Amino acid sequence: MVGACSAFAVLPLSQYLMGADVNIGIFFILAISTLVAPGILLGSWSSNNKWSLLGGLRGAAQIVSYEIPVALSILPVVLISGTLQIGNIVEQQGWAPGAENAAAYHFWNVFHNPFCFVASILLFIGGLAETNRIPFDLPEAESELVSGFNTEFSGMRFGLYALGEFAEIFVMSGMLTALYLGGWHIPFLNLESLFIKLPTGLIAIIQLGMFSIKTLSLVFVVMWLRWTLPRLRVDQLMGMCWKGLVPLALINLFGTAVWMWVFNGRSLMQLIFGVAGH
Amino acid sequence: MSETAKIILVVFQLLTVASALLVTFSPNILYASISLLFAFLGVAIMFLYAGADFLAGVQVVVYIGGVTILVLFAIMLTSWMYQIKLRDSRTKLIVPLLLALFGLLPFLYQGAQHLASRVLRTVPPDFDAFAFSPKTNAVGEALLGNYLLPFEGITVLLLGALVGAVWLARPK
Amino acid sequence: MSFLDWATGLHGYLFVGTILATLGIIAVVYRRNSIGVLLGIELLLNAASINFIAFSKFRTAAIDGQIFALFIIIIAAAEAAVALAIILRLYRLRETIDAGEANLMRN
Repeated sequence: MVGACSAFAVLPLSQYLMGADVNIGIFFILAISTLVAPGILLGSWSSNNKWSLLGGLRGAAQIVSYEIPVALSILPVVLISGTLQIGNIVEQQGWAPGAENAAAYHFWNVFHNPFCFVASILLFIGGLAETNRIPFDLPEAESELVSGFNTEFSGMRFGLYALGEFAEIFVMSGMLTALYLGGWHIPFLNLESLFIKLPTGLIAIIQLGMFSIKTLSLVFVVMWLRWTLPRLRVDQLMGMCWKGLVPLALINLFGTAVWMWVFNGRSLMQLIFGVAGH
Repeated sequence: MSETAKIILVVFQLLTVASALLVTFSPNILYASISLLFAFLGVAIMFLYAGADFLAGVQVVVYIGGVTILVLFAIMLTSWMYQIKLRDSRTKLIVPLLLALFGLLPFLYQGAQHLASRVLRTVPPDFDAFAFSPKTNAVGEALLGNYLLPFEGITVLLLGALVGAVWLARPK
Repeated sequence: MSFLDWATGLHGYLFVGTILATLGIIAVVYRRNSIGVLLGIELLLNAASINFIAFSKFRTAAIDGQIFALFIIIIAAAEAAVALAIILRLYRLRETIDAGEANLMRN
């Protein structure tokens, strides 16, 4: 719960609205989100209940192992933008045709290169698993474990767990938005260089709206998956992480590095519109 | 640094020391490992204040996200739940305490002397400039520059540890 | 200079480091439970990295101390993984994790 809340501090709501642009922004989110695992483990242990304990063990193992593909699919973005600061990363994704200083800005990181597209999908899957959402909600599988680590909790304590989980979904979606989906930017439009000069407050509100729309649509996809997909088995889950996601994420990382080297750091959009490299 | 920042740092130092005391002397091994988590957190905050922001992040990820979880796993797998054998059997405390006193005494003496003289003998090189300055870039450059060989060695060591741990814990 | 300056300076860091190291040694010697011994070792390693960081900040203002602390953290992680594997093995063989009971080599 604490982890999920304090991660909100570094999410970039808009160019002018941001809690704290920490130097190691993404790394901070990663670090904070691992704090959830001991909470789940201890909650399950203190229930003194076999099923709860099993759920907690599953949850902790799942969070720890999916941390790796998540971190590996964040790395391409770091490679592209050369900074860990979320504000800067979002800044670089604003690109509109005809903007001045076009070499410094590329389009959304999803479309930077094919590897980034795959990496963003991996990040989404990893985020689903880390927040224990449905295709991966083994820690609280109703049909096997009653309700997992929060079986024995009720009232405000259960409320804290549930609230923490949902807050984490928002954080994960916000992170995906900021890293890959261009954060507060409206595609192909630069609010700063319109023919009318907009007041700063209005720009901030529009950007906040854009960020919220992107984040909330990701949250909607998460909820949507909940009613669509069946639950996996534990061994399938772990097998998918270690045999599927981790090698793919490594290939993505390597591919992005090669792309940056071959095309001199230009994104797909910049190549299409013929922008010179850095 | 402002006074408030200093007070916060001191609070976290005290938290570190208090939870380290619990780690050592709590009879219940589960409580010991939970307080170890808080000790790690306090140390991470101390790193942050010393201008090692990247290391603070690594500390949280590796220790809290990795080592503490592993320890909790081991405790939960080795002590059967309904018959909790978490309590540590008592042994004689006198030998380790003597050892500890020998370790601590010179330092306490020096610290007391330092406090008593109230003289800052060596002024640290631009204290505040270094304090909150980001060091992540420098760490990265150093890892791929001067320290490339140890870095590669560490990766090999990690691989070895990984394989070894899996081999040790394999089902019979 | 006030207490706050002392505690947030080099001596404060070294003081916390020393206490952690001392408590770590006590835990290693005093604990029977092998997981407790492992906790003590973790405290010792943390004390070492505190010292590295403190000297790197207050004496040299260079990056090398941080690199060494980073290596310490990595090695601590590897060591914890191997140690816990050994403990699990011991538990499977002996049904106990008491460090005094691990005497298979004795006879």
